[in-house]
Amino acid sequence: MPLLEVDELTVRFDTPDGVVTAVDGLSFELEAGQMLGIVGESGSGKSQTAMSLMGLLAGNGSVTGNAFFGERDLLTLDRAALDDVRGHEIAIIFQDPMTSLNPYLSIEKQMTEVLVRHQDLSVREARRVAVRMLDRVQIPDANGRIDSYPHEFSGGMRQRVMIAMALLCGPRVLIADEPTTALDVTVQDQILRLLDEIRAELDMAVVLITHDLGVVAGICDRVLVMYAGRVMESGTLDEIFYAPKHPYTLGLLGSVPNPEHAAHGRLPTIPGSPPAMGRPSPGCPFADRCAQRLPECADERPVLHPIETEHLLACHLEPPA
Amino acid sequence: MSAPLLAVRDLTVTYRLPGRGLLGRARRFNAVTDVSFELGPGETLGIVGESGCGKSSLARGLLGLVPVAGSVRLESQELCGLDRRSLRTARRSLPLVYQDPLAALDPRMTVADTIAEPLRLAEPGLTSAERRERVSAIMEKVGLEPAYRYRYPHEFSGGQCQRIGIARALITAPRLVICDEPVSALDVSIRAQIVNLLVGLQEEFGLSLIFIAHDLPIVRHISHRVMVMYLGRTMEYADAELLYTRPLHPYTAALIEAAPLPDPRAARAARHKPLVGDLPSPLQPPAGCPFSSRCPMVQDRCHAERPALREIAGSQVACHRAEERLALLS
Repeated sequence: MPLLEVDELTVRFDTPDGVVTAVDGLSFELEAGQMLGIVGESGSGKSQTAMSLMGLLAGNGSVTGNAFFGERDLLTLDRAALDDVRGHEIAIIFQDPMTSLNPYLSIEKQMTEVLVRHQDLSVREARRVAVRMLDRVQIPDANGRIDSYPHEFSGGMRQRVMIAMALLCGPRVLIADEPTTALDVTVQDQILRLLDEIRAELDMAVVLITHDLGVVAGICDRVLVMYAGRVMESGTLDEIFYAPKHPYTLGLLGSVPNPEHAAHGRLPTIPGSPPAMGRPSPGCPFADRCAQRLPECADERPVLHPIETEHLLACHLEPPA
Repeated sequence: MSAPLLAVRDLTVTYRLPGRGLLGRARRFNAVTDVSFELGPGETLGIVGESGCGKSSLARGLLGLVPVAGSVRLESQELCGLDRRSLRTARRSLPLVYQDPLAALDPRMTVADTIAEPLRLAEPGLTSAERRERVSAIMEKVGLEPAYRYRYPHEFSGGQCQRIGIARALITAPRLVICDEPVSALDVSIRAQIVNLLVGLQEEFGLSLIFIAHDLPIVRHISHRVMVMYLGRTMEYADAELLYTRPLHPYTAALIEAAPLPDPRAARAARHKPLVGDLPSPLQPPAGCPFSSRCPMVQDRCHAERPALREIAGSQVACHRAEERLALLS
């Protein structure tokens, strides 16, 4: 049985311009020890997926569908029950560690709080656990640095602190929302390696949300490609990277320069730009940018269906048998 | 190479910082130290490096927006040491394209006014009809509907705003454009569009580009020559192909290895060791070689003596052990 089972997750926001659907019928399963990459551009709904699972949607947001974590449906939990799960069994880290850390509190204060809250440790025990965790994420001189404040750390070190904090209560699922986007490339490399090691060591499931296909290729097991709130294609790493079927996936992969492209030549591109969320199309949201568009794409929504055991596709070019 | 369009010699950018404490003496630090390069007509120089490497300070230094020493010659004019007035005039031939396209545009100006503004300064004699003509022409060149001329920046997507920024940079028909991280704020599917636009404009107008970025694959694609910077200094400077296929500086090699490849098999095969440690603060660079605190090939000598930039087999490298790497790679 999967650790996390998300079924028809839909997130809507009530805005002055009407109801906006940010995530539209998203389903996936996640096993322990697995890393799932969710790839998408701005407005694809990848971050709102994370927020809805953590019960962190903005006040005007509402969610339907199910997200089973064991017996419990995360989407229907009340505040108290959610607080028990959050930080304890499911943790999240964000893109910018500086805005997620409280600048007025020392790292010790911020790290021990969660241990005292969830695990009834004394402050002294909590400090010991926190130091051990900082050590685990390779922060040098953890026992000394724990008394520092967030601004005294570099960006990479702050993200390590965030990861340590997320791991304190031994969560079974970690959601990482663009964890390396704000970091330099050599530091990104270190943080991705760290996430991979920790996933293996703790047999933890990880949802890695990113816009960067390169990041996914390095460490994920499976990939879900989102566009305008919907899943366009999903599958194993090899299926998505070496046998992509959706024109959007193909376009994304094609537009990344690689040494095989002639230098200074034209890169393959996807014309146009991602759609505004306010006006969802009745058909395929990618239709107006798609070079292989069929007449039915404009007003008939393609169904996500299996083309291999794990390889799912929502495209009229390969309809369900 | 024919006569260079831009020749930069020993460019150093120095900032003054307040001293420690109330009465502390003001401190100085070099964000860019002794950077030299030449850029020919129609060429692209890529500048790569991580935060604090001085790549943006270098761009500002070329424009004389920050205090500089050294020499910057554009065609036959020396820009270093010009007085304010002449510098302002000279800057018109060195437009800059910024990272965040929306933040770089005035939200209260229409697209047409934004694009026409540099033209008003450069060619004040134009009639408004002539100006309108030029604006429409350049909008079409960068892929914007001239019909959108009276719209405001917020009505455009990020990619379109970057097109507006490029149109504004090109309206005065400059021979050189400096692009400071022009695609890093854009969505993946839009980046390739902007790269293609720049390459196309370069071909059409014989434009020279300075392309500053941290995304190595894009820099490789667009650049003829590439400079790798670290803590304000040039680590390696070579032809793009040579630099990427035969990186002589350990930092260049580390940057190339760290760039994530959208190719799972290659990523699995290339299980390299990540660089250790963080970028040092540019205020307190390590003694000796600036990269010595993180270098996998570090020796005692590297801590004691800063390697000079020197020519090795067609590349310029600042590393004591470059010959060893060359022997290893060939």
